[in-house]
Amino acid sequence: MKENQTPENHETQEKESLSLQDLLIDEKANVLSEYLSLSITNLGADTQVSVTTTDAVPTTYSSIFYGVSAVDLQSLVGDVQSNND
Amino acid sequence: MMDVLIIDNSNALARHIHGEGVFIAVHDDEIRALRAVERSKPDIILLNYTVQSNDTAEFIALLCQASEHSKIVLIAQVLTDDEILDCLIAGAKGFLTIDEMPKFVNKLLPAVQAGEAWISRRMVAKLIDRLRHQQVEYSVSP
Repeated sequence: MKENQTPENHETQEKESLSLQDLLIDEKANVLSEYLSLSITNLGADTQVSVTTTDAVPTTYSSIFYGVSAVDLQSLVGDVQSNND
Repeated sequence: MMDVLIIDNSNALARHIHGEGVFIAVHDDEIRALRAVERSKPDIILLNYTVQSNDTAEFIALLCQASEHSKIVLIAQVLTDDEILDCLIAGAKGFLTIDEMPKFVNKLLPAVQAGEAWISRRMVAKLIDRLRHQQVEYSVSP
């Protein structure tokens, strides 16, 4: 899998061995807050997604998705919904 | 300085917003609110779902047309994922339940103003999952 995960903490550094998706899905992990702020950055042919926790000490996790380009929130959400139909 | 325009017919949202440098305007009528958005181009719009209910996604699209600069956050009691997705597709940048306003709204405002989206962990997981599928499709394509 060509996914590169980089945790970046605004105030402290924590090493995480779980993948970003594992963190998001695993309710038992309880590492992330219920709400997250999300940014999507177009890197040309690739896309960087960063999620930041909304805890007192926010932590940012970033992943680069290679070969996925020109994504913004609206188009990505639309893609998710069309796949649900 | 952050201009926040609240569209709310229940008077339930504004009292939770604190902090210096936040200017708040409240409208309970959607037509007047739309005109105010067009005129003042606020940084952030907090929209209570009850104002337009099932027509909220269409109303969000109108707000986006009135002010491309403004970032819209949907506030509601409980919505289905599809209802939230419809509003995000229409142009909303985030969603928060009314019950969680006191806990999160003052963190949400600077994050959204900085250009980030504010959504639930479950919704982020769906989006990441979709990205990973696109990546797999890319990696196996000739």
